[in-house]
Amino acid sequence: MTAARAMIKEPFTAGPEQTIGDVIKIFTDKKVRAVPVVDGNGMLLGLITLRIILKNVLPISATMEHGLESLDFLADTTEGAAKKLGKILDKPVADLMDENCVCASTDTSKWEAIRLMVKSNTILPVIDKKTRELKGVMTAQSTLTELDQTMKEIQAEKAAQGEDTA
Amino acid sequence: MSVGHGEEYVREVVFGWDPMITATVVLCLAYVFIITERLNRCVAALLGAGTLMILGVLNQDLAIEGVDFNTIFLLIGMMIIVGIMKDSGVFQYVAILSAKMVRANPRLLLINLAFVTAIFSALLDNVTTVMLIVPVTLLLTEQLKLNPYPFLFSQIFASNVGGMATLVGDPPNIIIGSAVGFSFMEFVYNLGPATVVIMIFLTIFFDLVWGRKMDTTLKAKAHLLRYKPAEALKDKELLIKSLIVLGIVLFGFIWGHGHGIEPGTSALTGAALLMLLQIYKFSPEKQTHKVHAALGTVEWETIFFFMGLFMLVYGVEHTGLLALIGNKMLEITGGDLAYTSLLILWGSAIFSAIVDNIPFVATMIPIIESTADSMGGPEAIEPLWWALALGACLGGNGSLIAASANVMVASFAERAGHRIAFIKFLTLAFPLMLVTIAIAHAYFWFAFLQ
Repeated sequence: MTAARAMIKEPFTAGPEQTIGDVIKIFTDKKVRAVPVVDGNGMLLGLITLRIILKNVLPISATMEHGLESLDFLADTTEGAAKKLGKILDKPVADLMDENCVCASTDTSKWEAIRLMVKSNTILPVIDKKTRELKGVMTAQSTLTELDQTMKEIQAEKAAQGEDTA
Repeated sequence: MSVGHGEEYVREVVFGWDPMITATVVLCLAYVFIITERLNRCVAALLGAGTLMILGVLNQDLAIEGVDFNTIFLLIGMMIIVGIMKDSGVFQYVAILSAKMVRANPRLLLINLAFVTAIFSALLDNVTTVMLIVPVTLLLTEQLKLNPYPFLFSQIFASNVGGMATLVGDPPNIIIGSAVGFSFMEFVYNLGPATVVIMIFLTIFFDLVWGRKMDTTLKAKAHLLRYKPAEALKDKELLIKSLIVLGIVLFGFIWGHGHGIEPGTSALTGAALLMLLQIYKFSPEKQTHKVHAALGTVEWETIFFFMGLFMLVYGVEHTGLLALIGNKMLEITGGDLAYTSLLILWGSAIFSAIVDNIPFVATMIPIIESTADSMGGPEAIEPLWWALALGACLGGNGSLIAASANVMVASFAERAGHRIAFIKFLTLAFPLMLVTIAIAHAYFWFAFLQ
């Protein structure tokens, strides 16, 4: 069983030239937390998530490697954070997206796909291995739904077998 | 087989190669890799040391004899202490407090942060100091909408100059102090005044070049003034424990010198004591976990680099090459103390600016030691050591790769999107370094040659 079976085949996507403001609107309207970024030919370029946007609101000194480990001493900074958000709203998605996002290919096994998703803690884009064309995304929800359905099928099968032998 | 001293060990080098030439070739190859940074410096030094042993220039007993474990213990001990201490948030606290003290005035902040860096660097390892100060600096400059470059530049200089003042401040001092047996206070007496004079000069220079032109908005200042430094102090109990242990270790450095206690012993015992204070009330399992975390803060790459380097240099020293260089140096200067020491001062400054100053100092130590006999004994050549320390520490400011702290600042700047260009840094830092050497030259003349 492969990743292709549990994925959403026509996911919401964003284009690299769309702005962060546009993406936030997609997140709000469609009630999702992450969307893959694809070019005009449907090739995967990266992933943009709510978490990436929030991270960019923080001062760089707090998000860089070996940076500040606490910002407790910053008092009353809502205004500053809001201003930083205002600054990135017009930036193109391409500037902020995660280009090295974890993704699976259509023939990745289900176990591996679930492992990747648990590790990356976001949605898992599924691509064609050779062309990098986006085929769909796996989300925690889509995976659980699929697993749940399979489990019910197994139970039904068992029940049917039980009736036969009875 | 046990071999006591170098002189007794004469083994045929494999293939019948001349040991001196073999060792020189291995040393040069290792240095080429270290200087060009084509290979990690630790791997280059360890491979070089291993090659010397396999080729028979050294055996393992000799190689171990070459490692200065006093330096290794001192480095590991101080790294553990700082690694634990930094979790208290004291460094952020001091940096923010110093910003509030000057009411977020950028001109005074530039000076204040340079002095904070210099003072921390004198007592702690330079790399650690800049690792703790630079993130706060980047935050403060972002808030004040200032270009961080002048701040980072001044902190590189402050860390190298501040580190010069004590035995533990700068890696070259640690190696020199350990090899020659200078005490903590001897460093303070002999190099402290030079540090103060040069820091004052640099402060005026930085103010003229950058500080006096700096300005920021009232709003940005007001914002910074609302910071709560007390909140940065995350663990007061830990801070008190760390300060007590640091105090004991410093006392050990100063008092121990006359009582046969090496600095390495003080530092490593202090580290163990601080770990004890941290873990004694926890279960054995949690104790192990905490000790692992503390040991994880040690920069093992640096430690193994030092070990490899000591073995490598000892191998070359063993073949007599370094004594040969020492003699050549005395031929040039005619054995005159003033000429020799000033040659060492300027020479080490320029060399240290081009290459990492640690391998340079490690190589110079046996060279200088070899001159003692012809110059009237170990006491007579004492000024040469101070010349080496001055040159190597100040030379560390000459380029972006000259000292480990510089590399650390540059990598932080790059991650924050304020890349420091190598040439841009060099064009100001190198001449400025030469001016500090000129000041050191004058100081040296008054302090040691009059």
